[in-house]
Amino acid sequence: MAEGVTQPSPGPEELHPLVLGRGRFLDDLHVPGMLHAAFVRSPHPAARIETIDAGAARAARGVAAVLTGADLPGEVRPIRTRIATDSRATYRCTDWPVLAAGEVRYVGEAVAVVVAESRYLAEDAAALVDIAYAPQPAVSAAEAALGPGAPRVHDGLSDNRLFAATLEAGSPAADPVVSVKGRFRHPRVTGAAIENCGALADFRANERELVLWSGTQIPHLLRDLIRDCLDLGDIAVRVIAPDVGGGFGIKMQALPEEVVLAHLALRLRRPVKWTEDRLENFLASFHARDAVVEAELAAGPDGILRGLRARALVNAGAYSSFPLSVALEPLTIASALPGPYRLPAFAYEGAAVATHRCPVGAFRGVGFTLGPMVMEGLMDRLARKLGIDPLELRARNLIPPADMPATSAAGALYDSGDYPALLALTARAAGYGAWREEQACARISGRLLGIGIACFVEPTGMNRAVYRRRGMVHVPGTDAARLTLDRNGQIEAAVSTPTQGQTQRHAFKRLLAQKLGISEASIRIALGDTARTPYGSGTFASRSMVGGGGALLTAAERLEQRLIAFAAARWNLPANALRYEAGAVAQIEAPWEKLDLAALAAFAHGPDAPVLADAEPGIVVHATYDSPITPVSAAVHLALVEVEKDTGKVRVLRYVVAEDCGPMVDPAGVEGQIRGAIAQGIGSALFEEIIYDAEGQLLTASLLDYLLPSATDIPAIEIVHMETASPGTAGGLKGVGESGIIGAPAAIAGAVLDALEVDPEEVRLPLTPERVRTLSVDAA
Amino acid sequence: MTEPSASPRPIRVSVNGVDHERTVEPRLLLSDFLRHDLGLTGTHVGCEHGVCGACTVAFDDQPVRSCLMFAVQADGHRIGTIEGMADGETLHPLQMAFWELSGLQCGFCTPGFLITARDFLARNPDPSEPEVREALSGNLCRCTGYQSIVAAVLEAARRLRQAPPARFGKS
Repeated sequence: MAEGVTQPSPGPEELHPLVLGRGRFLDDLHVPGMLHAAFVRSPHPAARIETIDAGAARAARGVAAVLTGADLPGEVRPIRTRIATDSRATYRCTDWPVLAAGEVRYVGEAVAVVVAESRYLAEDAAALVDIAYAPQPAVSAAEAALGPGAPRVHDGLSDNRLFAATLEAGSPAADPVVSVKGRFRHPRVTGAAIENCGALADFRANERELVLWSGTQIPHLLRDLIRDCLDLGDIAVRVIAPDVGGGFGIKMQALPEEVVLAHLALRLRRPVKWTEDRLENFLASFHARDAVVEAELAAGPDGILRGLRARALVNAGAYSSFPLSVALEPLTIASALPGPYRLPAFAYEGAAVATHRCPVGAFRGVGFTLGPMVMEGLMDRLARKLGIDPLELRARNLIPPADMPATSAAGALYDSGDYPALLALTARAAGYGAWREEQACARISGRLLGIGIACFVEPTGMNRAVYRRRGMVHVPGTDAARLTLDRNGQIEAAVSTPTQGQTQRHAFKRLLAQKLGISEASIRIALGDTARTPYGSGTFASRSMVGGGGALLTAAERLEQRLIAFAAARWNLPANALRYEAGAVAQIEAPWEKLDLAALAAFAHGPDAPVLADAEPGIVVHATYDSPITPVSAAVHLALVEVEKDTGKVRVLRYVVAEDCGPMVDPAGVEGQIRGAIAQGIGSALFEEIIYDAEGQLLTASLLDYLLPSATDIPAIEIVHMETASPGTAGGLKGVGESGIIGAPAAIAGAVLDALEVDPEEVRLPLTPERVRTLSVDAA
Repeated sequence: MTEPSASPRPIRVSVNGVDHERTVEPRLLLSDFLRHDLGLTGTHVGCEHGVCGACTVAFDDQPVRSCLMFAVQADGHRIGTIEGMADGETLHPLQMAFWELSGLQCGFCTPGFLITARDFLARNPDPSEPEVREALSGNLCRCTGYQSIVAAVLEAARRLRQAPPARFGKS
């Protein structure tokens, strides 16, 4: 944007360079003297490494170095993700060597790295690295990994169970009940951001600083890990997230390749860049979900829920990822299952097992996506069994507003929300009654329409207490903001939550401008660079508005107090004689006497400024924010689909959402998040599946096999809003980033089963044409 | 028959109206040539197997996947990339519509969509929504769910019909 331009921007300013192709994504970055890395990856799911001959590779044209696990000096430590467990959980830590040390545990595991003058030459040399493997028996499916005599993924552990947790609340009803059960299987999927992962490490020896650029969602936590894995002595680490082409949770895990790059930069004394290609992304860059849940729901004859019993098994892959570990899915599935319903009894067992597959990590929605898949699926079954309309059944069981705030059967606080009103709003917006009529008419002419309903809650911006309760010791749970009034009267707001395209700069600017009563033009936002932003958790789990925004609001209040203090010094008046309003401090008794931000800045940076012995000159305030509660957003999704019996094709005809994510700072941004997440959920429901064979070979390693939905697969999504502010967070703010994907698989699956009028023993996503045909044949 | 040579050869390519002469290996991808040899990093690489469309550029006014072509194939041809779409700092109506209507979030897929949409609207200036979706079905976006992209293309089409700009070329 040109300097001094005062007319409002046509859109969020951060989008302007992007439409011009002026983004600076990881692979666009160039540092003089830069070398390029290519990784040699295991073709076997399980094998001992017998010999590695890198001689020909080292001698190849343009090659600067070839390293294997054996070449890393002892001080490059493995990634070791710890979990502090209580009596209800057990966890076994795995050591994840950043280059395979003597054995490989999944196809795609990095075994060696080649560094050369160009990526082309690095790949040429990588093909010359001669590795002799002794393949071992491999285990691929989670159920098989639990079986007696299953190959052990980690020899030091007695079996493949890495994490187990139980939860029991309430007591099951004694009187006769109706019950329904089912098994629900969510495929292994991945975020598949259009930008693959990558990193660029540059050791600036003279400044004793190691700079690591990475498309990471967790700059500060990644910096922590680099320090844990490498002995850096007096070398400072700076992590910078440049423009990032989508993260979706996958980029919140640290990649072993990032640690290798950091080590290479230190060792070679030259910058080294690595970018994944799509094949590597599928092989080795964090998968997700891959879980099966068996559950039984009990109710009275009136459909009022009595209890839920569930057991979850997660296929976690070969290693526990950083920072959340394999505990993530089993724990979040437990939290998700009760949903927005009154549930008097809840019994849960969850486990994560190691297999010879790529490690899993967080992907948008995490276990909260499994929750509605199961609960809403069972609610539909119950409705069919009892002959109650499925919408009516939900209405009977939703926690009413009079009971809010409520504690869920999983022990979570639902701070605010009117779930029955949200359901009614959705039904009205969709015209639910008309949909049922349309469905009935269509059936007469042989067309199969189905309606799916998903009612769910989404905890957002989880605070410190949640991460401590989960035992996730590497996540602080706080975020932070620093506000600096510079010498020109502009405010720089540095926030700990980076961006991967969610337009946080726009939303933060608006939030701060509204809070301080100033124009957005006088604010600039700094994100993503550990040298420019205060320490915090990062951007994931729908936390940037709650955590980052909460920190901004808190810092803004401190800024107002500090501005008053400086004005008091300038006027030689007591602070209580002054008031801050709309970008200026005024004297209460003489309100025409004002000092605006420019005047205060000039004073604060001028020769008569008071000297604050324990703070920087000028006006700088800091806030570390631990959200007092975890605010809970909620939504209802209604989907209308058509199923073609003969081909198994599912067409999503209409999709209606009522969302309550509290006060919306950036409504366009909120709707963008909801629609994008729903598209990903439709992907999981109908198209996407990472498939390994029984031996652990990856079969879906390109976008030709792993199908992402295109513009013809996603309908226009109609959204209506409620805005129930949280009583517990700064600004009443709640998050929304994951909401769409939490509801969509449940809504689509429910709609397909409704169309086919079937209740299979196992609901298996994605509902590909083959699976839909099988279901419809079974129904006939 | 002799084996084709893998040694570097000279090429001359016009990119956004500017001629470039370089010597390149035959195996150098057009996407890598544009991004790293010419420093035009606006064209992005998402898959290198021709599915995602992020690498779409105009090749003699036709949208092509630059990840599936070699730089040597561009010898003597005209390439149009995202960097040539605006007129200086004046955005093309498509770029303006994407900006105003949030037809992007992370922006990584956006150049590919813009090049594809520009060509589509030149051939079909008054499309229906299903026609827009069909035309864009070869470009993948993971952030937006497509709805705002489609809306932006329809709005740009409307503006282009009202005031066709003389100065925006294709390459």
